[in-house]
Amino acid sequence: MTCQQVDELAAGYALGALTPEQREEIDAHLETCGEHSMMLREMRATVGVLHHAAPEREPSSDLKARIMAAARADIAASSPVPAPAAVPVEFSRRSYGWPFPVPFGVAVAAVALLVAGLLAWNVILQFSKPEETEAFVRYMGTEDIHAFVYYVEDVGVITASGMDPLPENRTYQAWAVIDGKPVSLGLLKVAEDGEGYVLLDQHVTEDEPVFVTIEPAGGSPTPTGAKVVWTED
Amino acid sequence: MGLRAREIWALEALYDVYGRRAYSLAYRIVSDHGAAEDAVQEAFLDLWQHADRLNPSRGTLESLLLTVVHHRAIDRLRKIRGQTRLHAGVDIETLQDLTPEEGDMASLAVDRRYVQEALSNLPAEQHRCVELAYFGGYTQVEIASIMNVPLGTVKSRLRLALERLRTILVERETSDLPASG
Repeated sequence: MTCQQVDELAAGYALGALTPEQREEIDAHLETCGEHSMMLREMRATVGVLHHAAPEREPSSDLKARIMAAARADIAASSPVPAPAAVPVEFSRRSYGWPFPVPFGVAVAAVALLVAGLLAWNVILQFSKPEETEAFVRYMGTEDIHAFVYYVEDVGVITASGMDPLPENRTYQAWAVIDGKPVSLGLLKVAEDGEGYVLLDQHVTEDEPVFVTIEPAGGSPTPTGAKVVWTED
Repeated sequence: MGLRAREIWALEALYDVYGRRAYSLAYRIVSDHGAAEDAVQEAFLDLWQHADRLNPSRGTLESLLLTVVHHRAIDRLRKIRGQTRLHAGVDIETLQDLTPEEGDMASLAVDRRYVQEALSNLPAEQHRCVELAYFGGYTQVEIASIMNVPLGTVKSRLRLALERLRTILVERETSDLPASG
């Protein structure tokens, strides 16, 4: 396909209005033509905002559950799970916590988990806007449990390992102390291997204490069980 | 860890942030609740299944996800109409190569009203061409047939429309920036 033909089809390509055959021909052209690659990136950037013209609508409340169930089924079907590729870790802004004095054996495990955790954090960071991002990571640890609190823009998550399985009438619940009062951050989902996570319901800052307790199934309005892991302040 | 290592929490976070926008786009295209949700589910799973090949240095995750949602919804719409699919076998890596990056317009906080306003400021025939292509899932040849105009006219209308949209939106972004000094 010549440059002139690509010129004619470029807008249709960016809008997704070409046949697969036409698209493949342009894809082949782009492999050797930097000028058109740049032009099409620019056109696709324009097309990329057109979704804003779609009025906001709410999906049904069970769509998320269906997607998550399909993803879990996909994990179960594909074994082994691919190892993460190396990702350069860059800290673009904000301070971040570090596992402060802990016993050596714990430190080794914690650092390994932290490195893996930072990769996750970095992945999210690089897909967002580093120069405007509120982001931090904090460590919580005991001899058995190692957990991290990540916060990137509006997404907060606690990941944990070494969580003992609980009976059905009990759950792990995460909390932050905000303005001197404990506020629930959500219930941890813990797998059989002791790995757990919770997406945070509340915004937390890097200074507010965070901890996890064992509560009755469904969670409690205020913490009633003993702390199993917490941030060092 | 994270989405690239197919950590389930990362997918859940992705849905929490972009699920509603993804559904809104899919519904605008297919005008059917069930088909829109199916398209969204397919798109999230496309990303999930190719997550280990995502390149964080290329494009924004939001743009990539919405592109996949768009393609999945268009193909569902075309199937409903008895037409051949346009995006069979979504190629995440190729899509990523052309996905807008930080600083590109799609990654800016373009207000929804600006986009609607910019679209309505297009000449009517250009606006219709963009609607038929992006939301209608028609090829350039099909649009020429629907509008009863030569194919070359459709090509130039689409091109002029994208150029004009970009100009309008960039001007709008620039005018919203605080004055320096």
